[in-house]
Amino acid sequence: MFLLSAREKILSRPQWVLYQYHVDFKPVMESRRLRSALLFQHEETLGKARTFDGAILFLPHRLHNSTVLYSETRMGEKVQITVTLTNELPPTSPVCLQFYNIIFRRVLRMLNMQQIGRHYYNPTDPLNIPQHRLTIWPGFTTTILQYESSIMLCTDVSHKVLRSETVLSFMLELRHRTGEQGFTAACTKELVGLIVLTKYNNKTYRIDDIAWDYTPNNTFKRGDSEISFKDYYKTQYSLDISDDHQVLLVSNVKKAGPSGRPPPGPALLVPEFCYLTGLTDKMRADFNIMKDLSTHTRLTPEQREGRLNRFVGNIHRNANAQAELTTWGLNFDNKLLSLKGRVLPAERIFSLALWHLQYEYNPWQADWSKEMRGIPLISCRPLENWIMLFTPRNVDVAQALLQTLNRVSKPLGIPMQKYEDRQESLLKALQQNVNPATQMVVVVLPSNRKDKYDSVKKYLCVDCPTPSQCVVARTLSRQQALMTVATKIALQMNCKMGGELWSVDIPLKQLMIVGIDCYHDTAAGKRSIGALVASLNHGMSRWFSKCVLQSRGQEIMDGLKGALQGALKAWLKHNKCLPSRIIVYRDGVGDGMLQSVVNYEVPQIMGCIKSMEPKLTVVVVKKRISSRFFARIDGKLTNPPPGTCIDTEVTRPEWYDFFIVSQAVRMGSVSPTHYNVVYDSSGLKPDHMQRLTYKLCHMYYNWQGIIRVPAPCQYAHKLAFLVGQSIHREPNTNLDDFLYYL
Amino acid sequence: MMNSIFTPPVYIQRHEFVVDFVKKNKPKKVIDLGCSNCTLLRKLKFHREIEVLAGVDIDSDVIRNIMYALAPIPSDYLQPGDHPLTINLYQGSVTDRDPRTKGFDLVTSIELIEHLQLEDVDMFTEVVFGYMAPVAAIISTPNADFNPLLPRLTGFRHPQHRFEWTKAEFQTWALKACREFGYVVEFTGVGQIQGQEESIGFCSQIGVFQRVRSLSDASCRQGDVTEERLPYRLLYDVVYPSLCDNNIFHRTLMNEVLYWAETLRKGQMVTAGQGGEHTERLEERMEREESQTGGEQQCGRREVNEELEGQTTAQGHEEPYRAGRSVCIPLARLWSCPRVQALSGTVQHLKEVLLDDPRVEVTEDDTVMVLAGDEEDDDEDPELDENINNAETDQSLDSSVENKDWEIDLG
Repeated sequence: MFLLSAREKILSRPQWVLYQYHVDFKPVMESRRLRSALLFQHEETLGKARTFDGAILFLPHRLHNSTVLYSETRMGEKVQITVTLTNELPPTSPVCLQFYNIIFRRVLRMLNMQQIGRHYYNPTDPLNIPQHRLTIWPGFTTTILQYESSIMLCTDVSHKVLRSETVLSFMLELRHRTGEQGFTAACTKELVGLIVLTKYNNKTYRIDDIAWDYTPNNTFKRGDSEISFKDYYKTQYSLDISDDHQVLLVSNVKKAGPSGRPPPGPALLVPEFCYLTGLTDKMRADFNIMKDLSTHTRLTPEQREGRLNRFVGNIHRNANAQAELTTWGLNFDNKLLSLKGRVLPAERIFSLALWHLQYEYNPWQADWSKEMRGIPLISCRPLENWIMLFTPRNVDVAQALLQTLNRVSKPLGIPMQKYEDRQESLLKALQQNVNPATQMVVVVLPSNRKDKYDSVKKYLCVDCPTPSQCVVARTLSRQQALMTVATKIALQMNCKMGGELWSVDIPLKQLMIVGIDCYHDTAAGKRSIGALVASLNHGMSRWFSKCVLQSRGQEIMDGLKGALQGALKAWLKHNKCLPSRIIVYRDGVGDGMLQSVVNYEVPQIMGCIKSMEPKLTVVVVKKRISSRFFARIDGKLTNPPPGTCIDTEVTRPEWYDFFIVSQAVRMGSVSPTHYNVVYDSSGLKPDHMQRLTYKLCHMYYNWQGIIRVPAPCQYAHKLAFLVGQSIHREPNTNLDDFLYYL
Repeated sequence: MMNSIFTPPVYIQRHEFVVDFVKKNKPKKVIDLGCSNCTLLRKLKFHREIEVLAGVDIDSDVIRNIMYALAPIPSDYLQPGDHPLTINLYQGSVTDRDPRTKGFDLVTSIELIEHLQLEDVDMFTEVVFGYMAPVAAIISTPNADFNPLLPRLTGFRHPQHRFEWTKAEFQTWALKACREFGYVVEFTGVGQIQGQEESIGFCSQIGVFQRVRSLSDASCRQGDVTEERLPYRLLYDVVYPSLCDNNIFHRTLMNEVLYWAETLRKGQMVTAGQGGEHTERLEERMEREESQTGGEQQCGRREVNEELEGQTTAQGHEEPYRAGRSVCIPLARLWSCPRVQALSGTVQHLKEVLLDDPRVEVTEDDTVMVLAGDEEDDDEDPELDENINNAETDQSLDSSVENKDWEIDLG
């Protein structure tokens, strides 16, 4: 299979070396700007191509080992500058790569692109969604990295969501909606964690807090005197503050102060001068907004390739950009990288524990909802004692659901009996009707209001542990879709009670698969929620799930150690032995956290299991990556088929890593998932590791098809999300053996 | 050294002096000679009455290093200004005549002339007052009379200074220039020490020149640039997004129209069940937004409002209603949204813009129909995983391969 990757090879001159110098000033010069000015008086010695951060100088050529220069300040002070060669850096050195990235940023700025956060965007041709006051800027992510075969520029199309309203107008509107009473809490919840842009400089700030007792009339110390925020913005930027009563926003600036001084402390920002970027959680939950957004931002492989090629072409055509690159002896390919990938074999789906009933799916669709119709499941829980709750307004849809459930459940083998109809308030109804014998509670919610959903889940996951199934009445109101919906619900209810739907062949014995993910509750209390899901049987159809809540700053594995021990106990109970190999898929690892997984989490996991000495593999799973692959099939650029695996050229020389495209998408370009095996004592061949990973992507029971990550990761995600969003407490341990959170 | 004597430092005082002048006199076109690392220009770009901002320096590297700091920032795009702004930076000598420097309202030359050879100063005078001929000029230079008050100073304040004038020398030069080119000058300065002798003057002396004669149109406009010799090299040229750009104007206004149409539509849906409460809240919201849109348009709006009064009463204050999946809003109702009003200026103008946009239709009785897109009101169910995308393609691949036992493989 021939693939294209959104990467360009960087070409530098052969034998190119970057020279790193240390620069000393005598007497010591405080100001960084002054140091630069003094050094750059010597252009004839240094040349035009240079990069200087105040102490370290990079040049593309060699000076004498130690060069002494003399400059004079504007005040006539004589300064001796000593330039000492400290390093010769080959293009593959990390410093050199970092340096390439800096040069590349300069180039992007020359193309008049706007930097927001770490990426660059084109502001001249925005996409607008006026209904929500959203503006989307198309842009690119670029990183230069050393890959297997060469240094490459990895590019991808990116979109920045901006809001054309200020934080002040957002706050005023919110106060209007909530009233004075709930405003403080609602405001903190909505705003904290969001990134804002300011009207007067090109910086972004994260809102960490709101200073409720500060207004623009408060003063701060500037130099020797106190100045009010109002006067400061007036004199400094000629900006008038119209609302004197607005409270200020607090941002904890992490970056060090000038010349390495400690951070200057929190920055106070005026809401009137701040624009919101990105989406609030509420917008993310708004289906319409997300749909509008995706129609704007979703690109087919051909559109995507076109944009990337135009971007690279623009750089090649821009004279200033070319001049900058040439000075440093750099250039890069003007076409995307071609490489080869393999397609992993499609799996057979088994339906009975005896394995004699199996079916195949169309590998391009990666979905078997049609194929599994009429085929019995592996195991069904009989449904004898259950209740359905609904409001009087939803009598019709509840009836329809019940009827359809009865129709679909016969071939599925779910027996159904009585149900009770209650009209009191939801929680009261739950308290009165759910008893320890209740197997399942179905709630038809009149709307997708989160509070109602949350109260159902809180009560039934913590106080009175019972599997429950919520469904929004609207979902049931479309007649033509009711069969499909009811089938899904029936399967989901079965899973929640411990039923098993299907399996794939797992050619390894005594294998325990573990998935870990976490959820960061940015607003309330800044807690983290870690979830661990571990397989209990050979067919990967039963799972043990555990969720822990931790305070801020605590390592996620601290709490999950106990969960892992619990999982081992549960395994022992189910299998009468301990697993001989464990494979951990760790999801939810940020860009900078990889090392801490290796240094901290792997030893913790090993500590847990050391007495049994199983073979251990730890794989870091990354979904949010900027790598894209396209396949050329019959002369057309398309998404690679599900099962495409890439483990050459674009992987990293120092890692054991690979990409798998496991899912199929209906629209836009598919995202590959990156797997990085950070610890491995299993002795499994990479091919087997890859195929096992792909197999696990078939095992998520809430989707009759292949998903983007191994099922335990998706389960862990779902669990952490439910606890973080709705329950906020640790679920009852009685539910540990069930997929109650689906 | 000097910076530690004065608070704020004297270079900041010089810039503040220019900024104060700009605030008072509101020049539209400003050029800074000897702009160096563009510190003054970076301050001036916040004064959006200025429509053209230019800088000239002999040193192209210093400009190249800093020029992107003058680029628009994201918020300039998010809320485009009312006035246009173009920033140009040139490499060139202030003793050369470049037609692109003609026709400015203000020329600033801050601590520049003392870097010229004394014999070039006449040339500079000729070029600035005779050729560029701005409405006003601010020229500052060190006051040599002040030097004894500066501790540890021997000779000139900077090794690259070719001369430093006393108050009398500066004033003689300035008055001569005024006589020759038809200007009046006022002498002032920045930087004084408490308790110093008043007669010594300021650390930096400043001459503020105002043109007396008004020039004929031909010579004060920028010359036909293509015809003449252009000794300056244009290093940076950026046009800020502004509402004067037709595309940007159209986009901004339509965004506002569609936002309010949506807000009114939602209000409608709620009101249906709850009486007039929601509409009232909307009115309040509009008023709130109005108070935020700034004072400048305020005065203009009142007149238009009166003009509109007749229309609304004639038609009665109609409320938006739905027609199929589109929402219909009387033009007058849309016009009552302050931001829409401020942007479009007149109802007629608003109508023209709306007629041009495929997303809306304007009917004969001045009703704006916002056409519905394909979207359906759809809620996501919290428990059904609808978002794990799957595809529909009809190509097939090799069918699956038998799985053998990997344990055997491992040996």
